Amino acid sequence: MSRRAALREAAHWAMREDEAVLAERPPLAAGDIQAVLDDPALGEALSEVASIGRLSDDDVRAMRETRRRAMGAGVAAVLVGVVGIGAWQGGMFRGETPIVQHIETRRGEQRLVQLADGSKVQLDGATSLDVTIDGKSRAVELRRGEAYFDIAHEEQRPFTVRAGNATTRVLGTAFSIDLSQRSVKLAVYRGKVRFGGADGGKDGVVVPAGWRSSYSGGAVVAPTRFDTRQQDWRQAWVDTDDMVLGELVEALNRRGGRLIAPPPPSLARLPLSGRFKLDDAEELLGAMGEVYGFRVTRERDQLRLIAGGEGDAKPSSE
Amino acid sequence: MNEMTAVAERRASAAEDMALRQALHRFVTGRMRDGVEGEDIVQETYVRLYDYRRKRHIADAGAFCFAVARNLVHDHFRRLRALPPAAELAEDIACPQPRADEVLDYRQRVDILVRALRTMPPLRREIFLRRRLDGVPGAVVAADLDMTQAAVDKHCTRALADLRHALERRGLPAGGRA
Repeated sequence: MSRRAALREAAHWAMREDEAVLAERPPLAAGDIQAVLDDPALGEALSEVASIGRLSDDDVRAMRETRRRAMGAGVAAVLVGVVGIGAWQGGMFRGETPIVQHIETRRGEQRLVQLADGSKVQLDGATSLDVTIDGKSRAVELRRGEAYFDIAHEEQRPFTVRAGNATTRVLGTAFSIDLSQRSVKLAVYRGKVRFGGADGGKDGVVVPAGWRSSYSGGAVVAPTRFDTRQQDWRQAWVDTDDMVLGELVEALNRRGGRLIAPPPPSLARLPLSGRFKLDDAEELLGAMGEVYGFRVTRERDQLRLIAGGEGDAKPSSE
Repeated sequence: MNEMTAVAERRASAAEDMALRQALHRFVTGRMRDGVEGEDIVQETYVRLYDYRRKRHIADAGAFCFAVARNLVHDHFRRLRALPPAAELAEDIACPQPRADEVLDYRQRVDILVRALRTMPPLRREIFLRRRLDGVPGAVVAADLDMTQAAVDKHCTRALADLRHALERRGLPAGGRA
């Protein structure tokens, strides 16, 4: 039996309300499940979540009614396809009420999610976003990390991605957005998007496929060309042109493995260039250090970048 | 309505309350060997009754209380069976599994559980909140939401298993031994 199945069996035993349950032998994982129920951390977590919002009886009935209708219309796959990844949250989508969905990934995890409108989002590790879709618009708030969007074309419902102070507005296209400390980077793979500040429309710049741009210091940087056929973070590659070392460290930290401490400011601002494979952060940084004049040391389970190439520049040896 | 009838009604309802409390007490102590623990369960039942009443109307408070009390009694015995006495284990397990608070500290556990709850389907989360936070019996939750009890049970089972799974994914080892 898989661990999940064992946990479900024990959870079922723990939540049953009939008398007969007391006569049955506790399942193997009963103790583990009981430990969760007895943990005061669960009580606190439940209260915290309850304070964010509860559903009334009417909310639940309306939600189930809408879902029944949706099932009939054949969109069920889209709605239930997100279970375990996130779920539509809070408000229901009675008529104009939006579908809200929260999706996040852990470090080292990547996920492909299909949204209620058929658009697809691929999330890099350590990424978090909220999706709101209603009758008039489709909106994503990228809170952290990086994501690739393949947007279903809908003339009537523009799709907007907000990341930091930057807004990207599209009708149907494929593009990638990377939110880092310093800037928001956009790369367009298909179609075109309008890219700009918080109000999106007016000050925005139209960026077509094969071009990328970034938003930093309250302005859009003039777009530059890139090759859309080249592999990117989705295949563990990174193109560091227009990147500084601090941003590369953020991208590496979205992946699994040893966490890299934020580099000191002098290193963080170091401009980079070239394409690199992201699968071994330690090796990559070690090699770059020799060129850019820094070294990599291990401190407990963290990697630390130190200015100056002197000393034992052998990061891989213990 | 004159004042006399109001007083009489209040008296009647006070008498009913008293009768219910005594019946509950008999029900619980008849099942529990420990009188102190039994009194706690009656108290807890009333706390849940008042909480529930603040939000919804209850047609039959007696039935509600008995359902809650019965669940609490079951929980008590189930806990005893799920967690065998520590003394028994200490002898024959050479290398005991670390306890939850030795692997993940309290704050980490709360964070993991909050995240897992937030990413749960909203209906499942709500049902689980009603059962565990509000302490409302499954049958009552099912009736309020127009669902079958089996559906409510299934949501709770999944929710609870997912919460445990979320903790284990973040490093908490399975403590149960075959």
